[in-house]
Amino acid sequence: MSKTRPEFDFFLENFADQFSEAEAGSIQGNTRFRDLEEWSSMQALVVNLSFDDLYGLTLTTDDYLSAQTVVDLYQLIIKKLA
Amino acid sequence: MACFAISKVRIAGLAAAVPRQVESNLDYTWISEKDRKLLIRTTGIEFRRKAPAGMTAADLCQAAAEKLLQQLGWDHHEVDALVMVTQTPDYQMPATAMLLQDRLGLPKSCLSFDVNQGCAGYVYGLSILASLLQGGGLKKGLLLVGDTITHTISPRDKASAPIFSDAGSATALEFKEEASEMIFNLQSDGAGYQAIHIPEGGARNPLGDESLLEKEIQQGIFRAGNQMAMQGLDVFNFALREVVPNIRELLDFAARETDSVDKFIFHQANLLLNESLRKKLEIEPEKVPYSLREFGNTSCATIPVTLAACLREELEQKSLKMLFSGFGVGLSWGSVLLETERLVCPALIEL
Repeated sequence: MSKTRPEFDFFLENFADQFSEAEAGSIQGNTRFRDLEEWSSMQALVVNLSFDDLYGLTLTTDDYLSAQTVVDLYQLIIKKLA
Repeated sequence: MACFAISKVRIAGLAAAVPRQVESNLDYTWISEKDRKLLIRTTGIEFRRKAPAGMTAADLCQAAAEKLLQQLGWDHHEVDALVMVTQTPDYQMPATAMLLQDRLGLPKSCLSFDVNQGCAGYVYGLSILASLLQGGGLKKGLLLVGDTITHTISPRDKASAPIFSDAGSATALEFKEEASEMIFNLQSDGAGYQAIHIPEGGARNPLGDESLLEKEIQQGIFRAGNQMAMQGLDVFNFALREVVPNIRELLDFAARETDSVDKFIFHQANLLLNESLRKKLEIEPEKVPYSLREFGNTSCATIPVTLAACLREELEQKSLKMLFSGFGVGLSWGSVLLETERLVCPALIEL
């Protein structure tokens, strides 16, 4: 478990890894995650579990509602790690 | 820190009862087939038990208690205390415990009361009844734990309808000088009360003209104000954050290691979460039984349902060092370390 400031590339790679049906490279920083075909409330649990493993923290329902893109999620993580 | 030990009380036996009616998440057509498959894979829940209208937690607990008392050979007049843990009482008043004191033919000398608790309710209930018995003034007690929680859920709420299931249970406790200690760690955090709650129909927000009208809350979630609302992600985060430290604190307090425990029975929340807890605690899979696939999340009854459904023979034949851990609505959570010794454990009852 890393509590250090994560590099965005590392964050993105982990995030994309949670989506088994997405084509390689198709998920980018500006991707609107709710538009991903696999996105669902269940998928949010899977993503959150990966954040817990990597950073020792998770995002709340309100966090997800406030975010639009993958970068927005990254910035929420950075803010929580600060 | 709410770690404490109770001595001189043993579990004599336990029984669980579920409704006969089975529902499958493969048939939950409110969501797409693809989502159904993802749901089953992540939650581990394929089937649920649904109490028909008119069947309550009291009925399920009564069936479990009658079978248990019969197999224990206890004289009903020996039961000194009855504690009922439920969030789905028969009436707003009086408490269901008194109704069951009468329906079970227990004596008027039996004290009885309800405890409003959910997923941590079995562990909380054990601590309450064991506390009453440990002085030796009261010798025998029944802990009845159950919910017909599906009756509070909108079938068009994809966050809750495919998760929850109905069950009741009865656990018999008795005073015994030589019984090994039960060691508890109980916690609560009311700041998270909205993570799982029924917003309307209580004293804070009494039933109004619109309380029964289903509204679209978000995509795939339609429910009324008097139905259960769950923020699944926030409950997941809470359990991920709090359960492992609670168990580690309990083990430290008891000067035990996970290796010294034969079986860990977790509240059956969802497979993704429970497996994460198991891995964080570095517990071997064979020590952590699941009843999730067959019975789903039966609210306060998941621990006794798992014991009756998965461990019946071992409970009857062996001594087992166990750790039970419940977590959820409140928010509240708690764990107990205890040892069972050749319990009376009737086969799971279908009503």
